[in-house]
Amino acid sequence: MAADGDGALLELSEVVAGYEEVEVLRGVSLAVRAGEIVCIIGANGAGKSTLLRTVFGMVQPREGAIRFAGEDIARRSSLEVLRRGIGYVPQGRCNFPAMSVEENLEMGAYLRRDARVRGDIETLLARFPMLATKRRDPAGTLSGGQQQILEMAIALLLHPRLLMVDEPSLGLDPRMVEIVFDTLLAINREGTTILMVEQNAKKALSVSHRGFVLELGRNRFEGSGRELLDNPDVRQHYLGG
Amino acid sequence: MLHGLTLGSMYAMVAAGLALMLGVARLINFAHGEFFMLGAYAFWLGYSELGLPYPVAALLAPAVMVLFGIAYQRTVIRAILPRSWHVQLIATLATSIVLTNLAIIVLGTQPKEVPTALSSRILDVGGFRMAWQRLLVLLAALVIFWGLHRFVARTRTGRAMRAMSQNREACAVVGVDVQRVTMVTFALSAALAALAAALVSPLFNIFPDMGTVLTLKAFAAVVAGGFGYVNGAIAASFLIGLTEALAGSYVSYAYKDAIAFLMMIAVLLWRPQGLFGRRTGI
Ligand SMILES: Nc1ncnc2c1ncn2[C@@H]1O[C@H](COP(=O)(O)OP(=O)(O)OP(=O)(O)O)[C@@H](O)[C@H]1O
Ligand SMILES: [Mg+2]
Repeated sequence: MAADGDGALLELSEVVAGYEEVEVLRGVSLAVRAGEIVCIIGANGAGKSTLLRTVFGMVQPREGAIRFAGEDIARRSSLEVLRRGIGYVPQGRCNFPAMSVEENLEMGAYLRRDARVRGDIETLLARFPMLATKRRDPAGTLSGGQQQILEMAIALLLHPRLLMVDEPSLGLDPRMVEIVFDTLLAINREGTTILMVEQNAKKALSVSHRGFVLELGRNRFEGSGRELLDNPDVRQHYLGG
Repeated sequence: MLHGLTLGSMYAMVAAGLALMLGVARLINFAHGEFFMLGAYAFWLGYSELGLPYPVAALLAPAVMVLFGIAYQRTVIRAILPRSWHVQLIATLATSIVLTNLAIIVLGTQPKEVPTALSSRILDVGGFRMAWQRLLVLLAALVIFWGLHRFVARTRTGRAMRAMSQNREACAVVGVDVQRVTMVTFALSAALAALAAALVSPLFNIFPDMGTVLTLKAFAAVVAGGFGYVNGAIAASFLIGLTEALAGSYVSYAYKDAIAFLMMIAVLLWRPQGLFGRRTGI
């Protein structure tokens, strides 16, 4: 099913991508409109992370087009994609464990040379008190949830128009999962479009405007968060009945 | 004692570069001793053949080797970095062998001596006699390590080097140009080896296969120092240099080269994480 491209901030059409001899994405089409929270769900190994990596220029697509803000970014490097306004928080730990929280945030602003970096870091620390109290501690000593928040804060320092987050709730306790989703909602309310991948489909769909189900390298279902939550097939296979 | 500190300074400058490359690029450069050997010949060329003053020749060597380090990174390293460690081992060892043999063909096997004014002038402090050059080696090494520490701790590129040694993927996410930082790391490591060569060459002979044993000793220091932890490698190098000098004068000169490896084995048995325990990054 072709995605409706009008007004889309990010648009993938018939994207084919993979690693050496394995083909993981076999024609994925989806669109993310400015201001939305869009969620991708799917079984383990369906290719959700590969999809985000392909958008971010870490995996080169073999076929298809990826457009961001009207420009084809399908063959751009990660650095170029980042500079165009796409932030990415990969699955698993993605910070600098031996650097302090503050230094990690400074790394988030690595590409920036303007004078407002300090102010932005202070704003983020004020916004995430759990990071502020640990600003001098090595990131590796933080809890999993705190590190997840730190990684989102790192990505925010470049003020991305689109933030892609891969399994933000993985391995977190329920209280922390709430905080992480609340944070994503707040980031979205401030104007950042969000594309996330989640195993915790129920929770993720309930906060998303729209969702896609990825199955065997293709997008199978698409709909509003509510529609997918109510869809009997999706319920049976991805929401545990 | 002072001889041990001279050796330690030399090993430390070579080992620091090896540790940097290991930490940042996750690669063991088995051709690193040859960086030292080429640096020594560059110094010999500048000082003995071209008749440049010592400070100029001593800076010419690292300048030449920076270019060499960049060329090496752009060709050999860029090609092997995404490959398995077997490929990396064979490619860097092959580079080592090729460079040694090229040096034999071009420069001959006859050792070169490069005595300077400072290497023959003796400083006498209350009966304790030493060549000025040894003092220079030690002082220069301290300044160089201080500078290296500042560079890695304070500069944007130094920070990117630490970042790469801690999390590669996170580097891509924040926009670190991984290729450029790898190149700077190789340039810096080559410069360190060449500086070491320019500092100790007035005291020792220069010959084409001097790099082989040096690589292995520096590698022993890197392993004992925590496998990529730069300050650990420096400390272990001084330990090796001092032990070697003591063993050379009190035990047997013939066994002195075995000291580094005995120490490495001892450290690994006693503390498998290296002298300074488990660490993340350079
Ligand atoms: N670097 C790689 N090289 C080769 N194959 C890979 C690589 N990374 C992932 N794969 C394979 O690609 C397929 C899709 O992986 P991907 O990580 O995109 O799935 P996913 O949907 O994110 O799964 P999960 O829910 O486990 O995170 C899997 O079969 C995986 O084994
Ligand atoms: Mg995944």
